[in-house]
Amino acid sequence: VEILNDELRRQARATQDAHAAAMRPFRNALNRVFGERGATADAKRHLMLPGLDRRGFLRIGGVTIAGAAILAACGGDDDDSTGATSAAARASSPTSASGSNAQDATILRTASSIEALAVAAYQKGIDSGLVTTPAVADAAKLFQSQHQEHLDYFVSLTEKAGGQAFRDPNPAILEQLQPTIAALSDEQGVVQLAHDLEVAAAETYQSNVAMFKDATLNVAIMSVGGVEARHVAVLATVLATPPVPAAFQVRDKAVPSGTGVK
Amino acid sequence: MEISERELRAEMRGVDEVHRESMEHASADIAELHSGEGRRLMGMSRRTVLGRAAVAGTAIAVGSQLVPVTRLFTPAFGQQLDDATIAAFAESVELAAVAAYQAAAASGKVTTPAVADAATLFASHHKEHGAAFGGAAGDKATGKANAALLAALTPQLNAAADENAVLELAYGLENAAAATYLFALGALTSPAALQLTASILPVEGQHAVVLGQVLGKPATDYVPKFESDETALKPDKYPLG
Repeated sequence: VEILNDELRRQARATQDAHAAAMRPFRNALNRVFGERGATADAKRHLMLPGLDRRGFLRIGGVTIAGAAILAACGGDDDDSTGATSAAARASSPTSASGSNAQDATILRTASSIEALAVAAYQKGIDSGLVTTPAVADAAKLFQSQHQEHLDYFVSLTEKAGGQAFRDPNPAILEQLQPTIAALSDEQGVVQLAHDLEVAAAETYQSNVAMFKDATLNVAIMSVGGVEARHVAVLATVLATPPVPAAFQVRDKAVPSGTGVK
Repeated sequence: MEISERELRAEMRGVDEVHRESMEHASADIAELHSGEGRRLMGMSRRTVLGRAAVAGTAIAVGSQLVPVTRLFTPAFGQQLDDATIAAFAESVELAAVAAYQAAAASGKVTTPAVADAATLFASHHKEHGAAFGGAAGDKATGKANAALLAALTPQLNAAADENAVLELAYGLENAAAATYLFALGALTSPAALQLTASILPVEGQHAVVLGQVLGKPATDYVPKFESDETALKPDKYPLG
């Protein structure tokens, strides 16, 4: 990856305030989905419990988005398997695992859906033409390829646990993020979106530790979670924000297991 | 992807502010581990640590040299350790990292102010990690840096010719710490110990990212596809004092 141009990054800083204002809806959406505060218990129930209540979910998001629009926003037009319709259908499909394996499979299906979302989001960024800095484009391609490997890994683990593989972008999160994705207008916005998704992924996998019935999955999930945290640090550097924000990673933005996949 | 000194300094200032805020929460967590449910869980848990195959022939960068993993790290972890003992070992590793950063600062070889600031910040993180692991270790905590690890690091630090050589050493150590905690996740049993370790592993990796960027390493070096435990530090190679 080439060295980032200093001047570009100075300009990026100058636009950061404007960008922050533009990204506010996204942050609000993230907080509604992931935050421990800012959502009513009823809203969280709709978001987190199995058997997602679509009307409730949309009410929380405050946005009504057609499935086709979501699909268009995140690519995959030629592949029905990534479509919102199939995603929604699969989202209602139970895992085939039972007992303790079902719990593990649900965590792994959620992780898969986050990885698929990251792959789609990076593809959207790459295809958008908004990423003009070569080093940023290279990083996006590298990180996307790694998310694809993580997706394949989680799919294999899901099947090993007796569950049904989940390969689609998480429909619940995607639907919440769609307005932000549609409003992307510059590189900074793309990088910010990627950063926030990486944060959510890293914190989700941390939150999954000690939740598995199969203890070996603690290592598996963090072999990926650690990499997502590294992605966060790189993207934070591009955004001129702290690459290592604290001595301990927190879980404020963790996606609850089962979100959008049960 | 490299970062300039000015950018590094700005980021470190921002980090420090965020860090202070976050510690309000971290302190509560650490207190919980010291005296709350976490400690109870840590003290009770015990399991067999499965031996794991080492990757022979792999090399990592430590200092300015490529050193075979097998020379520095134990190939297997075939002994029974309880959670408290593993936490005590982790504490000793963290305190060794603190000592290494302090020695690097005192060596006069770190001449770039922003790099020195980053090293100071990272040392403070390691100190907090050490305190947290020490709390988890309970009566088994030693409060001391791992002597064997320091004995391995010190000659390399002394031999480091310049700032970059020191950073290479730190880079290897941070990656080794991340690997150690990934390995520990396969051995720990209590939820509190697992969660604590999972909250620290990513931070060591982020330290490595910053150092890798300063060193101008390729992104594929400081952002691997998967975290690995291949370079994990093991207590039979670096025993508690």
